[in-house]
Amino acid sequence: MNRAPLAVAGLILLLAASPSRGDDWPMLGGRPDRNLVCAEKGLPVAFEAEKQQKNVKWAVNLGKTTYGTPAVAGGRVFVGTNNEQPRDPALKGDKGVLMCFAEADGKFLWQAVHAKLETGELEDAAFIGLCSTPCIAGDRLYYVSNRAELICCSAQDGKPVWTLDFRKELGVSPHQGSASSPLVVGDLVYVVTGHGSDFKKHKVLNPKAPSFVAVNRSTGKLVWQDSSPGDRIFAGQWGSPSYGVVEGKAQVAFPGGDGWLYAFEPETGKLLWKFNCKAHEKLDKDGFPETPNQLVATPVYAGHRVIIATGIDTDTNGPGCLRAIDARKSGDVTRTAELWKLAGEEFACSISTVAVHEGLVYAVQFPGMFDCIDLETGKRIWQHDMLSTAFGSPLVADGKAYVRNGDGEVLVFQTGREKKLLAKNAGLPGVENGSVVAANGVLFVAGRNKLYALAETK
Amino acid sequence: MNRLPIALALSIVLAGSALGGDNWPQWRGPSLNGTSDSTGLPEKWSETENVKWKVKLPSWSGATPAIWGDRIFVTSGSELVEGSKASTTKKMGGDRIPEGKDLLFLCLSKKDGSELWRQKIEGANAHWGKQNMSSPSPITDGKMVWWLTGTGILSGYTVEGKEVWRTDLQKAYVKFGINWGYGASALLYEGMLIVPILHGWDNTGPSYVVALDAATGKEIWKNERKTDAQKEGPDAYTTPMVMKYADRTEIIIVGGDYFTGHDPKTGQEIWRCGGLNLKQDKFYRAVCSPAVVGELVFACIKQGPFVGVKGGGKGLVTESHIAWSNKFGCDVPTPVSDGKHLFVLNDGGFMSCYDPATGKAYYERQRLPGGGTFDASPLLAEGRIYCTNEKGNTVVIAAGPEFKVLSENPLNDQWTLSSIAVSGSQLFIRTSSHLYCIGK
Repeated sequence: MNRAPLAVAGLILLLAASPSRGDDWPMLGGRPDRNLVCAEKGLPVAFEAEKQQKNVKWAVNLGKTTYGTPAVAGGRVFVGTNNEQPRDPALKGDKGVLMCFAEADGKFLWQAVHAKLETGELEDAAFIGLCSTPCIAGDRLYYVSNRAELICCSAQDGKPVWTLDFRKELGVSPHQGSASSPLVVGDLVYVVTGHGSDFKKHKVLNPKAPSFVAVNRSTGKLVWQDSSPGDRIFAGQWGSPSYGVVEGKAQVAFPGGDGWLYAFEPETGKLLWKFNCKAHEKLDKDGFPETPNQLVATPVYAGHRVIIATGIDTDTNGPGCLRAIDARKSGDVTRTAELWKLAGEEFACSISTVAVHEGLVYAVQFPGMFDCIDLETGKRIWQHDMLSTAFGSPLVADGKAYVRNGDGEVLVFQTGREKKLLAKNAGLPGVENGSVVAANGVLFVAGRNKLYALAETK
Repeated sequence: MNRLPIALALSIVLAGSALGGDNWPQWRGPSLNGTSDSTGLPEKWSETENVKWKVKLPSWSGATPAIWGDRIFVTSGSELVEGSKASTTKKMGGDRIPEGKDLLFLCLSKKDGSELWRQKIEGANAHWGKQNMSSPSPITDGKMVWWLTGTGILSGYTVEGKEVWRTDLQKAYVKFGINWGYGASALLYEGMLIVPILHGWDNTGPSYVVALDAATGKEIWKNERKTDAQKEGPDAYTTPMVMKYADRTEIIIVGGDYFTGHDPKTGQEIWRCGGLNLKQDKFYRAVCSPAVVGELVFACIKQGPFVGVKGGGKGLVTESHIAWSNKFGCDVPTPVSDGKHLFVLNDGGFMSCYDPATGKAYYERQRLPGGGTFDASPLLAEGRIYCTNEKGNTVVIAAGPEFKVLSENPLNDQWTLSSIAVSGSQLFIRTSSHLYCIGK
């Protein structure tokens, strides 16, 4: 109970003491609203690591597959990867690995290594590594392992504090992978369990198992659970929750593998509203929806709005939908809360999270379009064709929007209603698709087998 | 040895037909490279324009029709009968169009698409991700026609539909263990059907390349094709191609992280070249087939690199025979070339054009209008490239060093996987629901 105020107080003190140092990036999206905007200044616009080194502060090897984004807190950088370039030669074979590095120089500090699930490909696909982006709160670190466990450990040395095994304790069965990134607010940890349909039988075998949970962050005890997607989960559930305060009331939104977005009262798990993000899709004569899209992106709270795109993990260039939902209503708000949408030919499928900044939404479409959209009206202001498929998410910082494409190129735009490309950085070796995050004046780019820290060198 | 005269006779037939442009004997056409020398082909069409006829097909398929004379051969799943569905073994990207549980082999009339005969294998269909068990394209030489299924049943028929022989590749060689189901087409070459069985995902046994006598189905040779690729890496959905030198030919195969060149008489491997999987990714299953341009061959696995290899090597030639490579992969569609320009279509809808000899980019990563995903391999004819996406929209661009879109030609569809076949001055486009005859 008293930890939250302490942590907040600590953070304020820290910020007050070193105003030039900037902020940590302690979770997916940086903050609980998951809006990909930060207050960092002086970030590099141009960098290079292939022919020459330019603005590369440090670079380290990861495994060979890295789906998570880095989280940065307390002088450490954390990132999930696999074990294909083992840090510990004694630990051989395929594993899920969380690595921790020193923020200052990239020195390897510790790793948490998880065996693959005995059920194999069906629940824990080969070599996907550890996909969850950790959340750091104080001296504790929270993440979901490749074994569908929510783990709380010491951020300092990775020593486990408690573990909640979704499979064993809650009857959850992930579909090919567990990937949710926890969210800590107050005393609770919120996370999607990753419950899914059976990979072979194509149905949810245990529809009562929870999809969404809130867990006491100190004890690991379940506070509430919800199984709303039930037997309607198409495949897996790889999304992550976000937290917003709307008209003075807190809510936490969970993206469902059934294509619905669910918002709950954070403390109790009482449903506040739900929205069918596939409502615009036509059903065929057998009742199948037009696309396999669901919610993989993370919802973003921006004032009274929640913004989220529909998409799916596999290579698809099909139609998607980006929506702004009014988060002030209650019940099934599918028909009443849509503020605007871009769908069909207007917006392809996307698993990227948006950045909302000064009345503009920056969004990535899987086929490689980067869009700037008016937050009020949903009108597209400008678009840039990155000429490469993309599933990373943008970052807005210091008046710039950073976005990465499938060739690992990082494009940097000036924010605002006028399109201005400031730089197109060649792909950093070893990274392709993914996001860019920033903390304490440094950009962090993690990809397939490398993690880079990029900063202006004087 | 007495096979040779027959083979020669056959090759004369093939040569003759290639000039006429009337026949499309197998997946990549009479020249085995996705080009056609037909003239008078339509440049613009839609549901209401330049459609000579269209016929409803029983089900969707990744296979390309084969055409000879008045006959069109089509492989397919069966119609969905109320209350019975194809058993879905694996799926990717959600549910596909429901279909029946049998596999069909149809012969249609080129005049109007009417059905001349059909064969059926009951209960053999299933869909695995992007494909069902009808993906291998049919092959014909005008006398016989061959049907290979994703379940490994390979049979030869007279073009009138009488079965001549049938074999079960899984029983004769090895149980297929390929992640998304068998989908390669065989190659008809000098009276032989050359069939790749490149797999590894399920560890059911070694990979093979086998050659069967097309007339009898009897084995001519069988060679194990070794690979050190891991996990999904040995899996390939590629079709063998032919490289012609002044004095000899080789069969080129891509998969398991390597190009290999084989002696067509024995199947023996003459050379192999790596460079396709620099990341040592364990999921580098090969989809696009090798594109042969003179004595160069091009291929790519997944996101690349895209690699061009000089033929004529011996042994492992990775260090010595890579002509050029670049980082932009194409994954699914097989490249096409007029000899001077190499057109590489990426499955995300980006077109690049290179000098095949040097790798110099005339243009790179130009987005085709209309978007969508491209599984079909492009067709090059009359100085144009035809690129069909999953929605059945065909973008026609100029086959030159400048990126120039000539037309966009939509058909009503969601799930087109087949490459275009050409006969005379008509294009044959298979969408998920129909076969279209497109002509002026």
